[in-house]
Amino acid sequence: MSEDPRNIDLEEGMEDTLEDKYLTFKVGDEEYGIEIRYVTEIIGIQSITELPDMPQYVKGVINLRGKVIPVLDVRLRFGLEEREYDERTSIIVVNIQEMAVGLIVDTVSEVMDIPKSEVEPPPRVSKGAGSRYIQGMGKVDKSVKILLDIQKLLFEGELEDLQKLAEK
Amino acid sequence: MTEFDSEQREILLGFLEEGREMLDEVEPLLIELEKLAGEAGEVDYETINTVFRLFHSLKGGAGFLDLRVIADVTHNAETLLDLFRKGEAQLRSEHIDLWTRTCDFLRMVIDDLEEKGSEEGHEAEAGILSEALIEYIDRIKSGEEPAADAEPAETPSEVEASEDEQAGKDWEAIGESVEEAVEAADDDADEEEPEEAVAASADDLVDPKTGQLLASPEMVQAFVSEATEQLDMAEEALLALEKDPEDSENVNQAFRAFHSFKGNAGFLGYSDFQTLGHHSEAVLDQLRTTGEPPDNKVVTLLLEIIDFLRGGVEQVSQGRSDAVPATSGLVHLLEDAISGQGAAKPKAGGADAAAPPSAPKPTEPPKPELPEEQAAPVEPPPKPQPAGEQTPTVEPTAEAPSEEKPGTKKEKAPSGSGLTPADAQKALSELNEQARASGTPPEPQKSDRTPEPKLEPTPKDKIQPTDSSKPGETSQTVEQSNAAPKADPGKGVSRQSVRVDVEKLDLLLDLIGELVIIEAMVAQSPDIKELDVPLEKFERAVIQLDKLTRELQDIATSIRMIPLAGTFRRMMRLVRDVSQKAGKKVDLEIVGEDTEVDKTVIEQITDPLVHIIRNSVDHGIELPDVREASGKPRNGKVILEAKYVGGEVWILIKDNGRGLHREKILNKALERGIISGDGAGMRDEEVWQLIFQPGFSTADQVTEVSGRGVGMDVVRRNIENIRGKVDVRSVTGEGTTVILRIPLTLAIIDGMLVRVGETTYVIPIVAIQRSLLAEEENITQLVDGQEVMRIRDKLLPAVRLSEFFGVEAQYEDLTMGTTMVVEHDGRQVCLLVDEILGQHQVVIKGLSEYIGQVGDVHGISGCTILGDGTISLIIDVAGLIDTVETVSDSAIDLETVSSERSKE
Repeated sequence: MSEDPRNIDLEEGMEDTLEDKYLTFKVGDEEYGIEIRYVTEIIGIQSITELPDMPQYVKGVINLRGKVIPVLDVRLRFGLEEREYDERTSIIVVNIQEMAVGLIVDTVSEVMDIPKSEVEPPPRVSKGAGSRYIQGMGKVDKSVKILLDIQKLLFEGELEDLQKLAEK
Repeated sequence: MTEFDSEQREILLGFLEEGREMLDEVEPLLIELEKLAGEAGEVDYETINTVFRLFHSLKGGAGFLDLRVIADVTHNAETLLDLFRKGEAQLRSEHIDLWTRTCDFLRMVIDDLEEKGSEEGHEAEAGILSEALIEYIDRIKSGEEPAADAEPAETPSEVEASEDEQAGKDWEAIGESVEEAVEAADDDADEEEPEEAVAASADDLVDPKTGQLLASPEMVQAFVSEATEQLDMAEEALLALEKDPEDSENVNQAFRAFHSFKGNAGFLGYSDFQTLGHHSEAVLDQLRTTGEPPDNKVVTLLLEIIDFLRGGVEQVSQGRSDAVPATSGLVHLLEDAISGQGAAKPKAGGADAAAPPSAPKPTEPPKPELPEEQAAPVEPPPKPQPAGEQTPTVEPTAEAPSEEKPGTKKEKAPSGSGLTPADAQKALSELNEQARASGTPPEPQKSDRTPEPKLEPTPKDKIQPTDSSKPGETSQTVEQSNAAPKADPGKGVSRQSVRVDVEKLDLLLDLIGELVIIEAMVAQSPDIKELDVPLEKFERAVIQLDKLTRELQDIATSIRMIPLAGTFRRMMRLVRDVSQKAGKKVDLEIVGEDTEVDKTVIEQITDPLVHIIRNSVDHGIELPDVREASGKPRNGKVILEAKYVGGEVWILIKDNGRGLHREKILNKALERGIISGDGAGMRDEEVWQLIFQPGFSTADQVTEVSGRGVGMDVVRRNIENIRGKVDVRSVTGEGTTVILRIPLTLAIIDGMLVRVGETTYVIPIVAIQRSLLAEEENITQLVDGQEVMRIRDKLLPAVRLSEFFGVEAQYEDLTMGTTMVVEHDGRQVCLLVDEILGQHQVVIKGLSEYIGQVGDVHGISGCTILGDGTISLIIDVAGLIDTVETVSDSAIDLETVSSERSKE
């Protein structure tokens, strides 16, 4: 990106502002964040129609105003223990590659600015199952938000899963 | 590069669309040419002519729009074609290559034109192409190319040429008048385009040898619908005239109707129609010129003529001849009417006689069978009877038409009218203008080939040489011709068509889909169910509503149906290119190209077809020598067939090549770890399915040895996108058939809603054979735990849906739930559900693409949203049976598989 302000037109400017904004949510004890530009809406938990032959974290499909969208449980995606949905459970609808997908999280927190200067690269060593979806660590005041790479969160690991299946 | 204003844009859009259609038409013709030239060394001049005309029309259109690139290239392509038309060189594949290249190039330019509105950036390539074309042209001209053995029939070729020149000029003339009309009357311009298109395409179908028209069924259809309209219009005008004889506009309208009818009939070579239309027109023309109120008898006669013509048009529409009974008698009556009416008209006759008597007749195609032509040199017997008093005689001798002879009318014209020759002339030249501006067919017709130039039979035609086209007149007449077709569209059985934006169509379908959902929501609303009152009236209304929505849906769906012909024909080119590259001889046979499928299907199957056909030709079909050695004809054959089978459209790609090689495929699969064991127990069908594995054959041997595989996973993916299936059947050494099976309707199905525990599923009605309550004695358990049911005389595997999908069922006992016998392609299974909830029309929604990326759902083809907003999964019966059969074949019992699946 150029430093010259004249080179930044309005749209780019808008994108820039979006770029540093994150929607944060809680899963388990940790706070996570995803880039706000992917988020289209946040809805409460709905009745989910299960699908056969799906990885465990894909809970099924929901009816979002006449549209059928798949929902996946971020908890299960991280390999955490399953938990009953309650009134704080939310579905974050994200739009990626022209597909709408719902992410089930324990609870949605807030939208916040995390400038790039405050984002550290992901730790090189990590034990957690969720670590491979990490895009960076955002420092906000004294706390740290785990910023997720939504692309990886949705798609990565399928290949490995398949390979594991094949090995079996 | 020209900037297009809004009117020109319209014309441009028309040109683009026509251009694509023409290119689509040209390609198969070129391939046909090549085939003939290659096999028999023959040249089909008819085909060359058709191709020539198509290029020519393109050039004309491009010239008018000032599209230099297209105009230049088509001009050169046309020039080269012309040399072959004249038989100056022998046609070879390299020539065909040039033209196909031209087609490709034109397609590209047209695409760009559509996108950017300009043909810029293609000049260089156009130059290269033109140069190549010119090189060949020069070589032929300088005699470097061997001349064709067979000389074409000379006359037709020359006549054709002049005709085309004529057509070309007409294009320009029309172009000019269009421009003028655009200035004068804004909205009229685009009206003329389609008219011209009709004229041009009709022109394309003249048989060069006989001058007869090669009327395609579409043309006849178009003629019939137009003719019906025109006759209706004429009738209406005549009836109005009877009521109000003073209103000359009625005469004009009837005249125009007859005139257009005559023109169209002439084009298609319907001589009786033409003759009758012509004479009726003459009668009306006289009425117009004199301005006298017509005799009732004349109107009656014309109405009768209309009835006769209607009968004839109906015959034609049924594929029979255009012969109108008693044509000659009717002509006679009309002539009498003219002479009778002529009694009231002095001056027009003067103009008549003033015109040069030897003027050739450019508007009439040669029709030796025309009675007037036979009679032309004959002196007609004088007919002194006053108007309306003569009795008709229906005999051949009466054919000599009185107005054939100049001067006859003058002698007979006694009394005066207020009309001056100048007035008459002006009116008539207007008429001519109208005919030209509206592209009425007669104008571009070839010049008369009969040795004796014929006389102009009507005053109108005679004045033509003196006619000068003025812009003002043009626009005026354009308005007239626009006003004319508005007459009563409700009447008649004509088939009309409208071009609609696809987006609008899709929106309509979406809305109807929503409507169906809402309808179900209302009809099954829990609120209503809770009402504890009789709902008779409500239910009746719901039934009515249901019927209407269903009809609406059917119609909307049918609108999107398009014949496969276009897609299929494109494959001819592919087969040609691929087979040439591979050094093979392959014939492509197309069967059932009229089969209609949804527009989305067309879009989705083009790529798969290309892959499959390329495989068939490249890998399936053997080299000619190999084929000969194995006792097959040297030429390979690929059959591309489409047909309706049940609720599906099947597209079969059948080749008579070497077939799939079971062992090679199995080895490869083993190597890749797709299967375990030696695969000896696998059925052929399963082995063939292996070729659809992603990347299965991309790398090494299988493609080279046994063929198939390249891009086959793409094929399956595309077809599955439209809820279709791909089947492969192959016999080693005899060939392979790939069958694409695509559901007829993509959006909505009739389904049976069933419940399994808490979950509801939809089973497509087409797959359901019967449902029943199982009896204890009909159930047998096999050693491996598989339950088998005896239904009538068959033993069918029982599939507990709950186990298959890993959900909890209400009943464990088979006899408690309901058994549904479903079938696909001759294979049956029993599905066990808890309860049937009822039949519903459901709108199919795809499971998200995401689902396809993270997992592989078996036995589910999609889902639907029910009236209460919940989602119900639609069962893919074929997929389910496949899965069940695969599982049982591999001798793994059902229960372990499904429990494993649910654990996952």
